[in-house]
Parts: sequence; C-alpha cells; structure tokens
Amino acid sequence: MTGRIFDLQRFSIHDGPGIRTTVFFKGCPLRCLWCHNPEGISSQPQLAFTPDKCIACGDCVKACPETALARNQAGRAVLDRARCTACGACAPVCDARALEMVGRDLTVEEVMAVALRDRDYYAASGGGLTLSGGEPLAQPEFAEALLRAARRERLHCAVETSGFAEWPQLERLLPLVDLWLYDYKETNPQLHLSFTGESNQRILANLRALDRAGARLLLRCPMVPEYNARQEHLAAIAALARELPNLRGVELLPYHRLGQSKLQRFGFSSRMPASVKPPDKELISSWNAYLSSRGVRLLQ
Amino acid sequence: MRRAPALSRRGFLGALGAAPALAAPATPSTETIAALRRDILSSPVAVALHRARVFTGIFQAHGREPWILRKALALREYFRTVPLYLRAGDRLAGSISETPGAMPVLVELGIAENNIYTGENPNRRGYLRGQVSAEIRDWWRDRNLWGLYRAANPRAAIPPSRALPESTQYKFISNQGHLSPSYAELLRLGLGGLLTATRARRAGERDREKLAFLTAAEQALAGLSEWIRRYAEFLADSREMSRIAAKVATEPPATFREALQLLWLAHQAIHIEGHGYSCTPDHIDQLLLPYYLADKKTGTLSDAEALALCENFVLKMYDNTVWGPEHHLTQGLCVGGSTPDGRDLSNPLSRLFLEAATNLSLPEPLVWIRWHPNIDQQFFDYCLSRISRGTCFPLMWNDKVVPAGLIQLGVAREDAYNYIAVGCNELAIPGQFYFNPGAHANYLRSLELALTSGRGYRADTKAKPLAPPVPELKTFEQFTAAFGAYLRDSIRTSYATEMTLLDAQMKWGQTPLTSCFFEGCLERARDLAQGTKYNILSCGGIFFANAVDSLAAIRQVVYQNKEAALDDVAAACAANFKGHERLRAKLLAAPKHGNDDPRLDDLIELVERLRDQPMKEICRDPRDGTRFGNTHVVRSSAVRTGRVTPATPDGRPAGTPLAGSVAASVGAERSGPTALLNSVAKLNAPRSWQTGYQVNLRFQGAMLSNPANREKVRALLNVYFQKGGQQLQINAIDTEILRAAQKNPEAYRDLVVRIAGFSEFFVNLTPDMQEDLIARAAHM
Repeated sequence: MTGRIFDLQRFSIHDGPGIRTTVFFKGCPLRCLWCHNPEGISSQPQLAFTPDKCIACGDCVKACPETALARNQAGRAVLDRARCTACGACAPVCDARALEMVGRDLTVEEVMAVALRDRDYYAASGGGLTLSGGEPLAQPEFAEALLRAARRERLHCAVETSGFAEWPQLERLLPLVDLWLYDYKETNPQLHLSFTGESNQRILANLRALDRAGARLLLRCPMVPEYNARQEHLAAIAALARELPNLRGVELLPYHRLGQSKLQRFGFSSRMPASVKPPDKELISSWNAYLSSRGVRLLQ
Repeated sequence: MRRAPALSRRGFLGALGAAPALAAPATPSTETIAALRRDILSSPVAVALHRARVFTGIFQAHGREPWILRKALALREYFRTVPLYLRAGDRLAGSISETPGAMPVLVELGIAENNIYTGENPNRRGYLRGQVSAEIRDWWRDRNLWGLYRAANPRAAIPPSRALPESTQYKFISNQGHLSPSYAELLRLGLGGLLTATRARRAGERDREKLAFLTAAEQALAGLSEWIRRYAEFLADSREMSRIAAKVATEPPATFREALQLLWLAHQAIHIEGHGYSCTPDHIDQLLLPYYLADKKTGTLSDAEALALCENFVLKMYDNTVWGPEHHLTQGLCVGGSTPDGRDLSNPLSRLFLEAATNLSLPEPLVWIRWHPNIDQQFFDYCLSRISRGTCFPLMWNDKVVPAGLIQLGVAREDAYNYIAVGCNELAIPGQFYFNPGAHANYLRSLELALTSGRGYRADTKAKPLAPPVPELKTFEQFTAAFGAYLRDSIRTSYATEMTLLDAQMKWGQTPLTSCFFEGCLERARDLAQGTKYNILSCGGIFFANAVDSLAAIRQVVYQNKEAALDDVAAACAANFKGHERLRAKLLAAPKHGNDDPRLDDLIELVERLRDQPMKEICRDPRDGTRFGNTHVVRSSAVRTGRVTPATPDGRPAGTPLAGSVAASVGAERSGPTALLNSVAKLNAPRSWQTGYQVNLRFQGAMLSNPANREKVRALLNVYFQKGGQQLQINAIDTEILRAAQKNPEAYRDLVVRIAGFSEFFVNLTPDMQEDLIARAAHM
C-alpha cells in the first residue's frame, strides 16, 4: 500500500511536542480560502514550475507529450497549464529542478525509513511523528497503516486534521493516536461554508465525539483578519475549550502569506485579497489575552 | 615616517557613539566596565615601538650569545623599561605595550613591512606599513626569523601553501601560539617560587645548550617579576592595585582578585614575548575556583564584584587582541568540562565568565564550553540562552569525542580530559600539548589533477603525472585511486615545507618565558619549540564537504549514469560551467553531504582514509617520531580561498565560497538540522579528526531566545554530541536582522557572528563574507 505524500519535513517543531517529522498527505476535502499548503489540496500529483531555476537546456520541451512546454526567446521553458496533464514526463529530465512533480506515492516502509533516522532526537525531546496535509483522513487506510508502523516503533504519534471525515474513520485511529491537532476554523456554519466549502457541523460533532472517547486534543485555530478573526468566534473557541474536558489547549495560528508564493509554482492565483494583512503582534496578543482571561490554556 | 591615519578599532565604521545599537547591545554589569569597553573599542589602531627598539638594541649588543638568551635578555630589558599606563576604570594591571591600543612589532620574528600581515579584510591590508623606521627594518632584514628562514630555504616560496596561506604566514609574525600555558604551578608557588626552582636547576647544569635555556628562563621570569613590581610603584595612587602587584611580583596569590591579577600578568607577558597568536589561559574557572570560594566564605567577595572582575578580565583579553585591523589573535576562554570519570566540572565561576563574556558582546575572546554526557542541563540551557543575545558564544567541544582522539595519539587519559580550546577551533592541553600544523592535504587541487591527467585546468603544472591518465580511469575506484595519489603528494610536499618551518621555529622561534609554563621544559632544560610532554603536529585538510560532494557528483554523473565523461567535467570546471549549464545541473543534482544521505557514507569514509593513510606513512614529528593528528581549520579561508579556487565538480562556480564547515557545502543543506548533524556524526572524529573540525549551525533568533524552542535545540544538541559530534558553533540571528545590519551598520555594531575559525562584528565583515553567512540555511 502506498500513500500520496507531498513532503516529509524533518526537525518539525511546530506540529506537536518535541522534535518531530511531519508527513504531509496530499489531498484535502476542504477549500479554505487562506490555505497555506496549497500543494496539499489536490489529491493528484501536480507539476510545480519555478522559472527562475530554468537553465534553458530545452530537454523538457522534447520530453513533453502534450506540447505544453515551449521555449521563449531566451530559450527558457514556458509552461502552458491549459495543455499540461501533470503526467510527470518532464520532471525527471529537468536536472535544474525547475520542473518538479509534487506528490509521490510512498510505502509505509519508505516513510518510516526517513522518520526513524531521527528517532534519537524524538526520544530526547519528547517528539515523534505527525501526520498532516492536506488531510490525512482523506487517505484513511494509509494513515492507519503508517500509524500502526510508528506505534510498533514506539513513536509518539500526532495527527493534524480538519475533522472533516466520517466518524468511523476517526474512531478506527483512536487507539493509534497520542495527540490530535484538531483544526477549528469558524463557528458560524454559514461562514464556515463560504470560507472552506463545507459546513462545520460534522467537524464539531467529530470533535465532541473524540473528546467523549477520551482522545487527547489540541485545538488549532487559524486567525484570519476580516474573515474569522472576530470576537464571537473567539468567544466560541473559549466556550468549546470549557466544554471539552479532554482538550489540552488551544493554539492560535495567525494568518500569514507564505502560501501565496507557493501558489504561483502551481499556476494558481490567490483567492485572498492582497488587502488582508497578517495580524500584528499586538492584535495576536489581545486574542491570546482574551482567551487566557476566559481560562483557556494556550500554546504559543 | 608616515603618520598613522586615525582608524579606530571599530574598523572603518566612522564616528563612534553616534547611534544607539538596535540589536545585540552590550550589557556590561557596571558603568565603569561600560566606559572601559568604550575606551578600548575607540582606541586608535597603532603600532608601539618600544619593544622593537629594545629588542634591536639587545640583539645588536649581544650578537655572540645564543638566540634564546638574546631573546630573554631583550624581554627582561623591555620589562624593566617599558612605560606603564592604566586605562581609566581598569582594575587589572598589565598591558601589551606602552600606548593604549597600540600593538608592539615583534622585530625578531617578522615586520609588517614584509607585507606578511594577513587579513580577513583585503581592503584594510597593509595598514601598518611604514610605521617601523627604515633603520630597524633594515637591520633585521636578514637577521629575524623570517630573514633567516629565507636564507636557509632560498627556494621556498612564501607563502608555501596556496590553499592555506595564513597557516604558514602566521609563523613569521608570531611565535608558535595555539597554546595554553599551565598556570597551576604559578598560582601555587608564586613567581618567586618559580624563579627559585629555575635557579636551582641552573646551578648544577653543565651542558651549554641547557644552560643557555635555563639562564634564559631565569632572565625572563626575573623580568616578569620586575615588570610587576614596577606596576606596584606606578599604581601607588591606587592602594589596592599597588598592594596586589607588590605581592604577586613574588608571592603566591591568596584571594580571587590577586589570583586573577597574577594570571593576567603572566598571560600578558606571554603575548609580549611571543605575540601570542591563539592563546588560551588554562582552565580559568577551575584554577580560580578555590580563591573564589574562600573569598565567598569570608564574605570578602560578592558575585557582583566577581562578575565585574571577570568582565574586566575579558576586556583585557579583547584589548590585547586587535593586532591591527588586519587580524585578531583568536584568543580563547574555555570553561566547564568533565573529569575522566565523568564528573561535571562546571561551577559558579564557569557561569560568571560566560555571563561576563556575553555581556560584553565582543568578538574575542572566543568563549568555549565542553559538553559531556553529565553536563548540568540547567547550565547547558544557560549557555544556549547566551547565544541568542547577539554573540555566537559559547562555542562547543564534546568530551565524549575529543579525549578519545587524543588518547589515540598517545595522550594519557587524565591528560586527554584536560584538553582546552585554542585558536580558531584547534585543541591543546594546558602546559602539555600545543597545536601546530605540520602538513596539508589539498583535496580540491588533487581532484583537479586527477581530472586532468595531472596537468591542471590551466595546464599550469609541469610535474610528472602521478596517476594513470584520464582515459585509463575506467571505474570510479580507479578515479579515486588517482585522486588519492595526488592527495598523497600534496601531503608529502606540504610536510616537507612545514618541517623547514618547524626547524626555523626550533632555531629562531624560542620562547623561554612561555616554556616555563610547559611540562618538561624546565626539567629537561629545553625550549617549548624543542618539544614538550606531547608533540602532536597536525595535517590539515579543508573544504572536506566540497571534496565529498565532488566525488559523489563524479560517481553519479560519470560512472553510474554515464551522462558525461571525466573530460567533460574537467572542461566544465575549467570553463566555470559556461556553456556547460546542463552538466552543472546534473552535478548539482547528485547527493550532497549534510542531508543524512546514506549514498555518501562510503565517500566520507573514503576521503578520511585517502588522507589518513598517507599521513600515517609520511608524517612523523621530527623531534620524537610521534604521530600526526588530523584537523579541519578554515578560519576565514572558505571565502578567501574560494575567491581564487576554480569551479569544483560538485557544481560550485569559481570564485564563490567553499565549505566553511565539515557539515555541508554552501547551499547544499536542504534537510534540516537533524539531517545535518546526523551527517556530521558519520565522520569518525576520534580516528580522523583528532585535533579538531568545525560545524556551523544557524538558527533564527527565536529558536534560542524562546525557552520552549530552546529546549528543543538543547535536545537536538544533546543527541548530536551523544552520536559523536566533536564540535559545534551556532549563529542565531534572524536573516532580517543581518540584512538590516548591512543597510545600517552603525546601529548594529555590537552584533557578533561566527564565520568559520573566527568571530567578528558582523558589520566589519566584507560583503562576500556577510553573504556567505546569510546563505547558510537558517533553521526555524
């Protein structure tokens, strides 16, 4: 069995405790406007193109069966996304790595081989393996197989999820997961639908069910000015935190624009207006101060 | 004589005190220390000539005496006559020259006129030219170490080594250096006690050479004592300083301040005697601990007072280090460590010295700690927290690895655990073993010769080829054998050259005073240069990562994928990849060291072996036949040598920086710090890097300033050292801050960064060195 993975990040220190390796699953059922990992949205392998790296050798043009690649006056590659089927024929001939396929099908053993190279660091720091994405629950069999393998190696396992999945899929993973990093994006169901393409009803139901089942939970909340960064949403986060006895804490993830530059490599344009700015330090502090005042345990 | 332009130690920064520092402001513990720091930093860079005049006069008057005696007589005369001064607020007597900020010219070794001052910054080279009178310069021309060496070795080119020019050049402006004198006996017996013991030895000696040495040692010690006594008179207005000077001129110290003062005076005297390139004053936190504890017990010393004295000591070291803008002395200060049975040696003084040094935000002394498995983790956390303050200190060695390497070279276990950091990133044992390069393995030139049938890219060598020509290198093993043959030759020829330098050091580079602090010198009545307890020379080999990456690229592109021939690779390198962009992309796509890639494991071992094997066969210490150690000392040459090094088969363009660390080539690090450190741990340090390598790691500032992140970094480093990493040096400054410092240097003038073998104010670096640092991957 293989899983479709778009990155294996070592020395990952923001996705759970300690030093971790994060496995990024490709494919996500949500379409969050502010997505910071846009290469994780599609479940299909995608062609990333970085024109700056092109050395004008022309090999890709010969390799492309769809005539999606051509050369400009300087001899450098030009990609016609309308013709490109992301078949991947060009990437292997591009030594300059201007053309790269994002999304590889890896076996559990292949992922574990990388993850285990850092096991001493996990042991010393209380770290381990984190499944993220994309949405790991969108490849439930592979997620389960990987978690089983990691548990056999006694690695601490975390899963970062949007919670948008069928409950039985979550339930199956319950005994395999040490920590759930559960994304909570918007309280108002209508707004949730418009921001992410789906309502939050199932997400909330799964969250409560996980909590009832005794899962260790961390709530991770992206905070996007002009979108979900509103008082009523913060108040609802505080209320949720009080309601869920197994919740270990809340982490606010302030909006940033690092995902924007990635979009260009995939030929997408941003759905976020340029006018939306990352929140400044004072604003972030005021959110955290509010949650603290409501007795919420914060992770920063 | 030309007047020195008014250039301050702040380098070319212009007006002082104009703008407040925005990043990494120094935080001296008292206003007096802050004022002293400002005073030292704003001193003009200048030359002091008293030493040159005295040495010239004595050497002229005593032409028939042995060299070592002339040196000692001149040193004593200098101590008797040098005009004394004390900077305002300075509570430790003892200065390098007669004028604040001015550095003496060591005429009996070499003179700046010879244009042999080396420099990190080419724009500032030769600044001291024209400062020494023609009369003095001309008299020494054929009479000092450099002149005599030249006469004895008419065919030796200066510098003998193209790849590592400063390693040989420093030997003509400095005595040996790279050493740490042992001060335990000095503190125990006092100067008077040492002098008595030396006299007693001399009394029964009949052998002429031994008598010359012992007489010289006695003269030097007597001079030191006289110098200190002169301070007692000079400082009559400052009663406590005067009392202390009068006491330690002969007696052993009893208090922390007395011990610190004596230790400084002896250390300063060693710099005056031999320039003191890369000196570290013994294990200062261990030696001074009994005095500190006794004073604390009697209530005569507070921690605030002790901190201020430690800061004062650090400032004295810095005041001693700016040898013209052209170069720093790379002085060291090393604290902590462990005993052979694993007991932690860190103590309250280790912490005070660390606090003092990092409070002052100065590029020198280089501050080191020794990690070990039982290190107090709170102390280690404290060390890491100091790195985020805008210095790169402390730098780290590993007790799990360094002693093991020294033991392999024949050092006794208890001595091996007494090792100390000296110089850029070299190793020594106080009073027992000093670092000295004795050969050099030139990886990249050897690769070039193997790729061109021995001709070089520019066909610039006429030497007979030492390996089969390129068409006969059908397999990768045949290619590496050819590479090995040229590497062996580079070791052989550099060894021969270096031995002529050692011979010159032994004849005209003696240091009778420094020798008094080395085991076996007084007992066997011979100078340090003739040998001490352990005589370990080192074979250097730099830019290891480029060598490994180049071999990996050649193996993949030429021998595995057969995408190009060796001749194509040679042509591409010769042309700096112009017209060979496609081949360069293939070379770049090969696996690169620093990413924990198992495909490189055998090549790491291979390069180590191709250097170790010939070194073992060829290199022997001529004094006692002992084995060489191996080292990787880069200092500033990763950028400077990079400028004159042709393109390399790893895809690196000509003129760009080479690898400043054994961890990875520039820009090759793509898999994060765990992968980087795992890669380094694959090097066999005890077997193949006994006398030191260096590893650079760069973080964004918040990784060490934020306690939760710092805990993760601490775990990372604990694992790295457990896995066998020998050394580590960290920069933790955000890229944005470095960019801001480039735009507005005046506001960031206290920012201290680690380059390779030295540390410097960031704003004093050349633009290409600044870029080299910024180009290192900065981990979150």
